[in-house]
Amino acid sequence: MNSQFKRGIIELCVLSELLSEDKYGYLIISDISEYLDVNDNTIYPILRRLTQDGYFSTYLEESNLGAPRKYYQMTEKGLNYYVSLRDEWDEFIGGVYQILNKGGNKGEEVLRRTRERINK
Amino acid sequence: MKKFLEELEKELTNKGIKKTEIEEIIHDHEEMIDEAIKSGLTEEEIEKKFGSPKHVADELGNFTQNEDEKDTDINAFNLFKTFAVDKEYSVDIHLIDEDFELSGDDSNEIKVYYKGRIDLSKYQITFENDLFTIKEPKMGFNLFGNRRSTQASILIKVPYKMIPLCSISGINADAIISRIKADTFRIKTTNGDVSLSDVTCKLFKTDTVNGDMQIRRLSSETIQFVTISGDVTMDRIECENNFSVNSVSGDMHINDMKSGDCEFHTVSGDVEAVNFYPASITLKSVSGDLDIRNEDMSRQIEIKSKKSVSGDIKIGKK
Repeated sequence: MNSQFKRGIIELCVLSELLSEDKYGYLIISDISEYLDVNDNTIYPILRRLTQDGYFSTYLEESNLGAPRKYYQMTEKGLNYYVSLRDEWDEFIGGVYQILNKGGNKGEEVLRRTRERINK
Repeated sequence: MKKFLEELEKELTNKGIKKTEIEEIIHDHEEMIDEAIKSGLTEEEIEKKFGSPKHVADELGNFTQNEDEKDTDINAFNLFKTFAVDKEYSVDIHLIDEDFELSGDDSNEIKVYYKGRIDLSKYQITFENDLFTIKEPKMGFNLFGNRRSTQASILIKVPYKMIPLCSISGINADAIISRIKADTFRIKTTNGDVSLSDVTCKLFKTDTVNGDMQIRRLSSETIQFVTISGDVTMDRIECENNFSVNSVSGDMHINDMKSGDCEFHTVSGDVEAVNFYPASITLKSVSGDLDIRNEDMSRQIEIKSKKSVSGDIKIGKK
């Protein structure tokens, strides 16, 4: 996948992860990589940039075991950014699905008919 | 995962990312790796989750401002004095505590700016006989006064053209220097850190005690480094002739450099270099190592002499 495009999507995912609760870095990576094939390489730089741009703030909290954890918290600015990105995304992905659905489902029947047509 | 952190630090340093940022990034990763281990992941799973240090550094480098790439906002400064330059000029800077920036621009004037609570009228600032001088006054013993104003700094803009001499000396002052062309470029500091970029000269000479130096895009016929414990990072350097380093315990990182004969005299300072192509190497050290990793192994590096107790020269493929 085009990496610029992928970065944009992961950015939206990172923002979304912090909507309902504050999370520490590793938890964000873990939670996202449960669904998507991405790792620290993609997520951490985004997390850092969003923090530097003021979309998240951070604070330290003692954990029951080991060193204190750095928690990321959504700011007002971050929330506004999320809403605008989310709107953009919904509109975009809605359009994409309308186009894809015009071609029909990726079912056996559709693929067979297409193959037949191009091999004529 | 210790290797991951070490490599990450190296990659970030090569990218020219600020030291304080690197520390923070490393710290974040220590914490995250720690969490991964505690959650019971196998070494293999952890490696997958953290991927390659180089990728992280590349991604971070894409948006993290390099120290030299950050344009100083001139609007934050007040203009103090302007000197017209008819033909030639040289620069002589003597600062003790005040952080400063010196950079070339496309005008024919030398301009001195300041910000914060600094009283430049107490400074000696002159332009006489083609020599621009700025000198910080020596402060008397002051028991109660806050000697060092926290935010003050000085910005000096000079015409970006070839000049005979640029001489800078500082004690604790941090310096940012960019876009300077000079026959001789000299810099001397005790504790101040120096960040330097886009400098062209014939002789480049540094003398530092503890201050760290970051040098990018320097081109000089001859380069001479003298340092006690300051670390030096060099990136994209061209040195036609001699390159010499004299260090006690300061380490040196080199990325992308061509030079003529090169001499390292160190006690315990190590030199780590990537894509470093000197014509020849002379190493004299007690325990300092010289480690070179190059992409192009066909370019021969002659080892002229090696006198070392436990230090070694290693040249390998990147």
